[in-house]
Amino acid sequence: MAHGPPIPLTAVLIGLESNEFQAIAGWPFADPFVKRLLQEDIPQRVQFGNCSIWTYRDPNGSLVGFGTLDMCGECGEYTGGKLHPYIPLLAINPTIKSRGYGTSIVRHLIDEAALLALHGLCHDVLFLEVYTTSEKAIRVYTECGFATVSPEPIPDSQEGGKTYIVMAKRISIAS
Amino acid sequence: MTTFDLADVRRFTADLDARMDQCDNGEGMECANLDGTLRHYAVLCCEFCDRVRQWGRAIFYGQAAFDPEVERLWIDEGIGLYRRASDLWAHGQELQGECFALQNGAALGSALWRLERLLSAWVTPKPAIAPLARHGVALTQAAKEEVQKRVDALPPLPADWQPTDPRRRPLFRKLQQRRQP
Repeated sequence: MAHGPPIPLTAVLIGLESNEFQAIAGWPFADPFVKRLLQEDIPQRVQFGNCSIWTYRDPNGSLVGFGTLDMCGECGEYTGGKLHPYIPLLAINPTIKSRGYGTSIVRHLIDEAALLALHGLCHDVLFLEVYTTSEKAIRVYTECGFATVSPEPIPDSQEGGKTYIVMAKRISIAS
Repeated sequence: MTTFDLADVRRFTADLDARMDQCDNGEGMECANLDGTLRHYAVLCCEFCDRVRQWGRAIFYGQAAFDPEVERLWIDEGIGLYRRASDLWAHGQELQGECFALQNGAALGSALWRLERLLSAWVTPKPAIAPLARHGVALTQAAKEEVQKRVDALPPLPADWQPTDPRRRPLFRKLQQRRQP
């Protein structure tokens, strides 16, 4: 599938009590897992961890998606125990037709993770996990330079044996 | 190491109460003057927030069980601490400038802001939904070694990389300059 350049989006950092968070929490996601992650995991990551939430608006001012970035230790055994950046969730507004917004959002989250690593606040590898059924998402992550680091798909017993992979991207800059 | 059971959390909150009482009664050198008292309360607010965050993470990552009584205790203690600390901060603000300069008013203001955010957007912790948070990268030893090999082999961003968002480029340049020897 041919892609043009990513559409420039305006990123805005939001809080859990903001109207924007209430708006995105009410989006009619086709995958109920996304809603559960957004309503249950993300607030906990914000309150008890280091998670940030961004919303994204297109040049017309429409809210087209959101992205989240945490600094945590889920993959700490591969970072020498250091906190590392991690993308818990991102999604496009399901009521609009996406025009490459996913790529723009992932690139913005890479920017922010790279800045955190440059600050010396975390390890220089950005991780995420994605279910193997989410082929479109895997394609977007791959286009943005993520590589699969788990040697085989991992079954998730709590989600009926659905399998997921772990993807990662180095965010330090070559000297 | 804390277990976050009811007895453990009660010990923590009782200690916090005792330290507030001692300070309010002027016991010890820490609270010998208003500025010292402001600093002491800032420390207590930060300790409280840090411990609640540790408790939430322990439940989220499946390292501790949720107990509603523990949650009630955290909320009650947090509200009590907030009231006492915000009264003190307001008193400091009244005197600030008129009588003398208080070094620690800002520290307490910042700690109160953290505490207020924690309490006003209170989140009841529960075990994570995302698989990595629930059981990490659950793999055999050989597979883990392969993951490490792949992680180590990840290439860096190109040398001419810069943030896609132009608004972040000044910060990026500043951070880069700071890192250069």
